Amino acid sequence: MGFIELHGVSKSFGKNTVVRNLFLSVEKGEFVSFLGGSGCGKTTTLRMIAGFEIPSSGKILVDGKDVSNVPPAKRNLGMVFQNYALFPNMTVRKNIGFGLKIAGVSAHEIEKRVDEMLALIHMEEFANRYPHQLSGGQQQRVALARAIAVRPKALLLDEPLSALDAKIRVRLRDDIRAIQQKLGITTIYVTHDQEEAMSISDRIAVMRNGKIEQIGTPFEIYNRPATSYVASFIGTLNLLEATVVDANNGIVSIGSMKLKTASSLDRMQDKPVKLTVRPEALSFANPADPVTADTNVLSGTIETIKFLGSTVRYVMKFGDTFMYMDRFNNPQLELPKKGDPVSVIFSKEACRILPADEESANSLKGTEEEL
Amino acid sequence: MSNGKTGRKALSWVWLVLGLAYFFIPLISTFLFSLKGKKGVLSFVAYQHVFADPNFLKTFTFSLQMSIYTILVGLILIVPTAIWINLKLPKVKPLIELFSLMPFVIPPVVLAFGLIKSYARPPLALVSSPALLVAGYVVISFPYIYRSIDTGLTSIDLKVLTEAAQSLGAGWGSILFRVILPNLRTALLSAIFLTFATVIGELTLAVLLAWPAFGPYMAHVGRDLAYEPAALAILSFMMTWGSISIIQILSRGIPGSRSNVGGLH
Ligand SMILES: Nc1ncnc2c1ncn2[C@@H]1O[C@H](COP(=O)(O)OP(=O)(O)OP(=O)(O)O)[C@@H](O)[C@H]1O
Ligand SMILES: [Mg+2]
Repeated sequence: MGFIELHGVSKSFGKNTVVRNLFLSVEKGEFVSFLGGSGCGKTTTLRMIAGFEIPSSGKILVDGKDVSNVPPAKRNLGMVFQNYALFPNMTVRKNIGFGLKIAGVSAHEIEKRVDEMLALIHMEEFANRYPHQLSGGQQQRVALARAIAVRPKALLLDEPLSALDAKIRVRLRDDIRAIQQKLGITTIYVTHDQEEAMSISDRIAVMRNGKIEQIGTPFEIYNRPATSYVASFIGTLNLLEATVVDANNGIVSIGSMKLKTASSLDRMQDKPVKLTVRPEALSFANPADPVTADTNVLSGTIETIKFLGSTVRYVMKFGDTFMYMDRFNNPQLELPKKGDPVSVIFSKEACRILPADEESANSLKGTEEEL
Repeated sequence: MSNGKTGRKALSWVWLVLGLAYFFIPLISTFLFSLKGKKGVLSFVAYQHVFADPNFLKTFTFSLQMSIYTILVGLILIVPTAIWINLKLPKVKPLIELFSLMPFVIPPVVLAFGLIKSYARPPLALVSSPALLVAGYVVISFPYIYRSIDTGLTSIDLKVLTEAAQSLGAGWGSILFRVILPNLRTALLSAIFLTFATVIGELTLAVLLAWPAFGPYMAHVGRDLAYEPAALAILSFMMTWGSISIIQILSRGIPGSRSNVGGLH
């Protein structure tokens, strides 16, 4: 049984249902991210766990107890907000000690715990500053320290880094992860930044339309997306419309091209599907390489080249179809020009077949698991 | 080009001087006039007369008392209401704002007669009680109190601060006294001083409900005497500016707070 559990939780605002029959189980000490586009219900779900919104139906359990009717002040869950929400009338020290003071902890004990927290966030010398005398990143550190000072059962963060600039964002997210690991605190983290979610989480719940579309480790989500929404939300992807031509042998057609896949396509003969392949799965075909039964080789032309720093992205055209290929940069690289002929190779295992429309997501799921 | 620049600079100086003159000339002439109580010389004799009149102190003390009651009752009624509306019922805000304009639209005479009519007979024979006067004053100062507090509340992120406090285990008492009110210091001060100024100078309610208040006293002095009213005007002007300076001084050094004085105008 999970430490935080959501059982068929729904939430409607008037006629507008924003969370639909959501199930989730978060283990003790686990770091789970809610990832999804704007308005998909991430914040609403987090706020229901925190107690700021009451579910329209369903149950929320924390540490085995049903908290659905417990007010937020009694749930003992730490919360970190997007805009820091520090108390402007209190110094850093008073902010961090606020929860302890409310809990009736002795002044001496508060002093000690606040010092520990200040050390944890490396802000000892800022103890007597007021929030408006701190940078955004510093304020969010203090907010984090304030939330964990009371040793909450779990930590809930709603896009804590989205108001900060890129450099600080990366540094602070590593700090958050390090502190979370050090304290072993169960954490739910809301973000719409896929890179952030992948780098920080034990598991990612990809949300869409008030539902969890897929939950899994960053590795699983990236390499085995269950739907084309998940696939396209995370990372860059070649997502191509295809038709099954030989269900038994896993062969699909895209325009005049035939591609081999490792998927079993039972009962999908002549049906439209989506073929996905990550840009890094493609490489230039070497004429000396033998074409085996397990590889696809395509010939086409270079469209453009995007230099991304550590990688180079080739945009290529095969018939009417555009595809990306990512290769590592190296200074000896000779970049081809627009119109140059290319030949690329990729394995059939790199191709994933996803349902063409979302309704069929479940019918294909069974076969996905067997892969 | 530099000519045009100096020209514009000179023009703004002219406007500034004109503005200051508009403000200070009446003030200075009133002040000079108030010093002419004794023929031929400038003296503070008018001020001496003002302070010597026992009614000055009596009516002023009475009005001061009433203003303290009004401030207490008004704040106790309006502060929690404004907080609740901002937090839980933002939809009714326009309605409350409309209500808060009522005292400007409905003349105090109507309010006074309404109060007299409603509370003259048992079981609610309150006409002879100062409570009725305070009730009327609360109605009159409602716009000032509500708008000061509302300005203060919108300048802090009330909802998120409340939720942050709740997630740290705070109940409503702690939220109110440790989080919200300390951040409303400036707004509270401006509500207090505006109410004070309103009540001290109020005339209609006090006259119609027959109370020996400072407003009627000033009116009386103004009707019967020449130099003393000028002295009173200068005194009340100094009181107002004293109040505003106190707000500025007290709100200085409050982190994250902006002065809300003048937020109503
Ligand atoms: N208090 C509310 N009243 C009415 N509708 C609401 C309320 N809170 C949220 N919604 C609606 O619920 C939907 C989901 O909102 P939510 O804030 O959970 O999205 P989100 O996934 O956090 O999006 P974002 O990434 O933009 O923060 C939105 O369409 C929003 O308009
Ligand atoms: Mg959100």
